[in-house]
Amino acid sequence: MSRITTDQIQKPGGVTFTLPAVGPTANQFLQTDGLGNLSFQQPTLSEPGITSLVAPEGVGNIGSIVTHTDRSNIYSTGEWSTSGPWTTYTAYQSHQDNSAIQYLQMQFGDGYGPSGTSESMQGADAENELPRRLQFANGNRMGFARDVFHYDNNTSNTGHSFRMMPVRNTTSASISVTVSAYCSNYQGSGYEGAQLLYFTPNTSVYSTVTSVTGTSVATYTGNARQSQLTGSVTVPAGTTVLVCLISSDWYTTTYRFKDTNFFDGLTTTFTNPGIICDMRMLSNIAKSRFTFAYAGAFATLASGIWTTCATVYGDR
Amino acid sequence: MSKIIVDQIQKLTGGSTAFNLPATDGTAGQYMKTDGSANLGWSSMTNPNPTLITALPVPENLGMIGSIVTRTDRQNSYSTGDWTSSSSWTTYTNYQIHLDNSAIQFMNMALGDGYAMTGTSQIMQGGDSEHQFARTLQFSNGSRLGYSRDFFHYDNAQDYAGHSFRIMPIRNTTNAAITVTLAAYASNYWSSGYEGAQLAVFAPNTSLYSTCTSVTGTSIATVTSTSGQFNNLTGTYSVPANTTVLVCLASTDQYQTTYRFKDTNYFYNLGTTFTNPGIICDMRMLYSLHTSRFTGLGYTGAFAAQFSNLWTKTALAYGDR
Repeated sequence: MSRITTDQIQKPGGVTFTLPAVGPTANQFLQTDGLGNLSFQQPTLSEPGITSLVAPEGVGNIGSIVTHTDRSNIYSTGEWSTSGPWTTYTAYQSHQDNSAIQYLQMQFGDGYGPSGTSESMQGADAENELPRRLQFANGNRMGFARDVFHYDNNTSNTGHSFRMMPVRNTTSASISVTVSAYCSNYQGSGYEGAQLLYFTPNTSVYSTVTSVTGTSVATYTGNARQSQLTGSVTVPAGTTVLVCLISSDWYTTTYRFKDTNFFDGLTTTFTNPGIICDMRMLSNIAKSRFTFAYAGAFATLASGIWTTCATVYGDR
Repeated sequence: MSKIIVDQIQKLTGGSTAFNLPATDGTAGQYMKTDGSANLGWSSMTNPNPTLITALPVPENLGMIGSIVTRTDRQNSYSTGDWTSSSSWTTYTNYQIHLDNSAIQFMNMALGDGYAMTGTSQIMQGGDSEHQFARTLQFSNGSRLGYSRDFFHYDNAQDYAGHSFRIMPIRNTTNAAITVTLAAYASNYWSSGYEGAQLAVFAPNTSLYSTCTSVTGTSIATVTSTSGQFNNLTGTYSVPANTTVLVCLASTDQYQTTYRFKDTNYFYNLGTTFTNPGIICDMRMLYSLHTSRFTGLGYTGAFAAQFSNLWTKTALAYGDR
């Protein structure tokens, strides 16, 4: 066996490293002190901290985030009609470019996302409301069916409620779940409508998501206080999808609108014990700061929802 | 001091890999690593996953006091969606929430959906208030917990004007019963006879969450025929040893003038209620009331057995005690 004995070792032109004089014990790592002195040390993990979920997972709890915009029922400055914060926004087509990215930005509380300065703040512009709130299910339903008073009395682009519920398949096989919801709608300009849709990542592990697909489950473009939207959502194995419900305020009579936006049939949706509400993702979409902007298609940008979840609440 | 200057290093006997040495030093505390292609470098060892816990967002036993609160507009919903004497199940009387049949309806509405497990397309009492979100957390500042505010009802209905529902969980952490003094203010507008206001307490039949099988309702104070913005509701209640009870406050919007109502619903004198250090706000129960999906609160029979779900679900979601 050959051996060269030396105190230091150096790559040509590089930093000189001083070798340790004392040998390691089992499982130690070679560590630097930042001054070129090497030693064997027991590895220590830096601890990102203890993070609490908004609710316990796997015990039957179901939650969502919800946001409201008043759209054209904002008085004067601040109102918006066909164009959202970026370009034309069609509520019942929120699963596709160019509405999807605008929907997501508004859902998270600020339609202008990272570019916002003094612009009106779609998603945080509803009268007497606070944006991006958590709401949990009691029993079979989750959401609300309520009055909204719009003194602006606009019957086109009346305003929207946006709801997002993360559904996770904890099994190793794909599961198709039945999703049902009720929504209001008043079709004035043609850019309103209601939609039940979901977003699916291209991989199951949060941190490796690079692309997201939007799928429309059901749409409604008529006029009603409360219309049902139902369909199936395919949740891939070990994957979390985002099930979204978008409704438009229904004009009833002068100043009076109805805002119906709730999931129903939760017992059916979650009948398979392998299907749960993903509390890591719920905590993430309720609290995280997403920095995706308006540049191109939503597919790549929306992957930030999953990768941020991995960073903040742990990967899986 | 001797020094070897070399680009690569390799074990002579049996070694098939030549490792490229790093040209630069790492920062203090970094470890040597390989990239899998025989290039050595420096890296910090980080745990990619934070420790996730089902912890309480608010610490317990540090003097914090919280509640959940929900509203219904009752007959002040416009047209479809309004409701009068009968709620989602049967007659609902707001000053008798401690009794069958109002108790189970009160609880379902306070939790955000009067139809609970049976709900499909029915109107959603508790999730039906204008510009409001159901089942919201609210914490106390100082001596009071709640609000006293204006409410705009364009429907202008003076009968069944609407309600606020509040639940505050109180726990006796000692081995002996403690009598606490409860105090609250509530608005009321007496019109149809089904309104009113009430301060009530629900108590389980055992101290351990998971073993609760029955719940008793007790009325502490009521307001019936009196209308007013600030009606005082006070009384005492004996909290059993090591037990959590639910203190509930149901108020009615007071009609003032056209479209204008007052909505007063708050506990006060919290310093007195919680003067005994053995009495705390139960944060496990508070967060269970806020986040849990209760699937056992239907409209079949008396509330006593069904309310036990509130305690058993807390044991499941936040740990038994």
